Formats: sequence, C-alpha cells, structure tokens
Amino acid sequence: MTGLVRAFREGILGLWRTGMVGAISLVTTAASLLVLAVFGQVVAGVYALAESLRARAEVEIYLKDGQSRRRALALARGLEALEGVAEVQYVDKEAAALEFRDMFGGGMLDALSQNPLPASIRVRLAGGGNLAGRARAVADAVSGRREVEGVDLGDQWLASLDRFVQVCVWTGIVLGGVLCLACAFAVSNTAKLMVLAQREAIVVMRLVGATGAFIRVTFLLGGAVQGLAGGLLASAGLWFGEAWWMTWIPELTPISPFYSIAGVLGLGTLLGVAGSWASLSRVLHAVAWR
Amino acid sequence: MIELQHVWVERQGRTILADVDFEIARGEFVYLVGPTGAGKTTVLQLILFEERPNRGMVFVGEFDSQTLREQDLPSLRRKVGVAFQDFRLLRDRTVYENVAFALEVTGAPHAKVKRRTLALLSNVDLMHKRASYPDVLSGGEQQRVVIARALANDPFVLLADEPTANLDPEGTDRVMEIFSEVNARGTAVIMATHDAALVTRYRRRTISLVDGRLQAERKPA
Repeated sequence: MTGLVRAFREGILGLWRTGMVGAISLVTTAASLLVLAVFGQVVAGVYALAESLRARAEVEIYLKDGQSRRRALALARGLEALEGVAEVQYVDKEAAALEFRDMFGGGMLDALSQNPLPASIRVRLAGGGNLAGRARAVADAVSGRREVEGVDLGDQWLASLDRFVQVCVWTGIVLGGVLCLACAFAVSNTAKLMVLAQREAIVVMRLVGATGAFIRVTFLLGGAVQGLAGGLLASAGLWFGEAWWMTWIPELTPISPFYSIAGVLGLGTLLGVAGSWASLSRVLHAVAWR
Repeated sequence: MIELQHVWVERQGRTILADVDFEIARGEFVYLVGPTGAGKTTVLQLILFEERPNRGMVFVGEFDSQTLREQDLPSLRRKVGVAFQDFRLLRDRTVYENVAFALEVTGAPHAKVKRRTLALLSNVDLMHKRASYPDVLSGGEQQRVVIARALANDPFVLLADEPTANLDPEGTDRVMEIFSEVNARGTAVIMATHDAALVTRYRRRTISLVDGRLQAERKPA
C-alpha cells in the first residue's frame, strides 16, 4: 500500500518536476482532447438537428373539392397502414382556413366570397432512412385516386436533407477517425516525453533497487495523471465553450455534458497510460553508466 | 563475497576484459587501478550486473552471473551501493530527497526513511545542507550526497567509479575519510581510480588492470 501511495505521489510530482516540459505536455494533451471533443459535439449537434428536421418531414395530399369526410378518412386510414408512416391527419377546408389565418392573418380570406383552400391529408413520415423514397411511396399509393387533386412531396428538400445527413455521418466517421488518431498520437507522445524527461530518475531508481513493477506503476500513474489533468483542462474549455455556443446556436443540442466530460477524462487517462507504457520499455533498460 | 572467475567480456569484437580472476572478502577496501580504457568500469558493471561476462563467472554475495534473473536485480542492488564520478544526483530534488529517494523506492516505511536519511546526512556532514539542491553544492559535497544515497539500503559493498576525479584535494580527503569510516563499519569498498598519488597516500589492497588484463596485485604493507 505504501508503495502504491509513493508511486502515485511520484507520478504527480513527476509532472511538477518536469517544469516547462510538463506544462507543454499538459497544454498539448488538453488542446488535443478539446479539439476532438468540440468536433464530436459539433457532429452530434448537427446530426441531432438534422434528425429533428427529418422527424418533421411530411407529405401533403390535397383533395378535390366536394369529397365527403367519410371518403377522406378512409383514404387516410389506408395511408396509415403504409410502412414508414408515423402519423396521418385529415385537415378539412375549415381547419385549413384556420391554419391560414393563424399564419398569414384573415385579410385575404375575408376578401373572398368562399374558402378556396382545399382539404388535405397530412402524412408525417417516420425519421431515419431514405425519407425521399418513403415520400414517393406515399405519393404512389394515392396516385390515380379520383379524390386526390395533387400531392406536395417536398421531395427536393427531403432529398437534400438525406444527402446532408449522409455527408454529416461520413464526415464524422472520416474526420473523427483522423482526429482520434491525431489526438491519440499527440497525447501518447507527450506522455512519452514526460517519461523521457525523467530518464535520470528511472536510472537512479533501478540503481538503488526499485523493482520494475514500482517503476512501471509510478510512470503509468504519472501518465494517467497527465492524461486526466489534460482532460480536466479540456473539459473546462468544453464546458465554457458549450455555454457560449448554446447562446448562438441553441438548435445544436450537444451531447449531455456528463457524457462528453466523462468521455474526455476517460480518453485522456487512457491515452496518457498508453503513452507512458510505450516509452517505459525503452527507458527501463537504460544503463547507469554513460 | 565478490569473486570474478576467469571473466572475459567482449563488445563488438573487442576484448574489454580478458581472463580476469580475483576475489574480494567481506569488509575489504580495494582499489581498481589502471589507465583509461583498462576495464575498471567494466569490472564495476559486472559486480552490479549491468554487464554479464561472455565467459567465466561473477559471484556477488548469494548471486551469480549464471543463475541471476532479471527480477533478482532489485534485491542485488539494495545490497550494492554505487557512487559515480559525475554524481548522478537528481537536480530537481533536495539533498534530503535525493537520499530519501533510495529508501522510498524500496518501500521503506516513512518513519524509517526519515530516521535513516537524517542519520546518513549526519554521517557525511551534510545535515545543514539537507534542504539545498545539488547545483548549489560543491563537487565534494555532491559526492558526499551520492555516498549517503549509496549507503541508504545498508549495502555490504560500496562501488565507487573515480569518485574523486572531479574533486579538489580537500574534497578528495573528506571523501576518502568517509570511505574509510564506511569500511571500518564493515562495508566493503571497491574504488576504481587512476590517481596513483591517492593510492599511495591511502594504502589499501590494489588490483591493477591494463588493457583488460589483471597485471598485478599489491597488498598494503
């Protein structure tokens, strides 16, 4: 137990003792983790925004004047059974007029002798997958029906939204992968630098009879502390960054701060340990005589 | 206690030690002398098992070069203290911390670390400098810190590689006095040096090496 406490203390003091090298390592670790975390948040936010738009995707089927409510509801029930349809709503002429008044005021409608707005069936599509394809399937299901006047697919923007989500996903995977590798490289290399900066202490440790396990634990804990400290700095940056960002683009709902901070701390610690581990084997066999 | 039996060491096709054979008893004080490149440091490296012989055997206490495993090295090194010409002190630690470090890394309890470190610093007359950093000490003082550190785990032998090479006459005398005191308390001292005057002044058993071969051995009168 004493040995573990000493190893932990040595690990923490090691950061302090390396002075400028330690400070630079810490800042590099924090910056790498912060860049990765911000990127993750942006991708997650954009993806969440796109998903919320997709959840609102709908097809409007306009009905010919004079259709009975019974026929319209029968058509709506048929559409409800289609795959990929989340909700179907019948909007009669009066309801359409009310909506129009809510959005644009009543002036234009009042000037007319009768309500020109058609009744419609509004089909809300389920989110995910190929939205444009599902919208077309709904249109195909009502094509040729004599009660249908026309269909507003909105397929152009749905197709654009589909493309946008795909680009987001692939950009996230590719750029995120590259950033992950760069972050792993930067953090583990700074951990290596810390071990190398304390090469002399390792030589003395071996010289006075420290066991390999003690030396390893000391420097692995040092790497963990370095990664964790960098993660804490990055988390602080992320926290304040998010507060600022949310005031500008509140639609971009970020990942819960708990998960993002836990992820940054965990990743920082893991990479710090990995970097120390990688460099230790080189230094552990350094000889005492120069 | 320490024995080299017909030891040969070769590096990159070059013979560093050739058929070196001697024995050192518990509590002896021995000089290893010879010009630069004679193989003195290699002998010390063999005793610390930083180097293994290509042929022959090295015995240090209960350890020998044929059966010693990597995991046995910490046990051996707690019984063999080392002092270097260039000190090898940790510049970012105080005198006290440098000496205590040798005990801490072996898992000694805190109270023992403190008690033993202060006693060692007192033995080498450096109590008043315990809070100083190595860079503000003279060469002689630094070497005394190194000796205190080397003695921290109460070794049965102290190896010293040209410990007085960078010291002024006063510092040299003080270091030699400390070595004599350490030796008088039962710790063997093996000191590599090429300072003939020193060997003449403080007469002890002397093992002479030239070009990696044992040349002569002189016992003190």
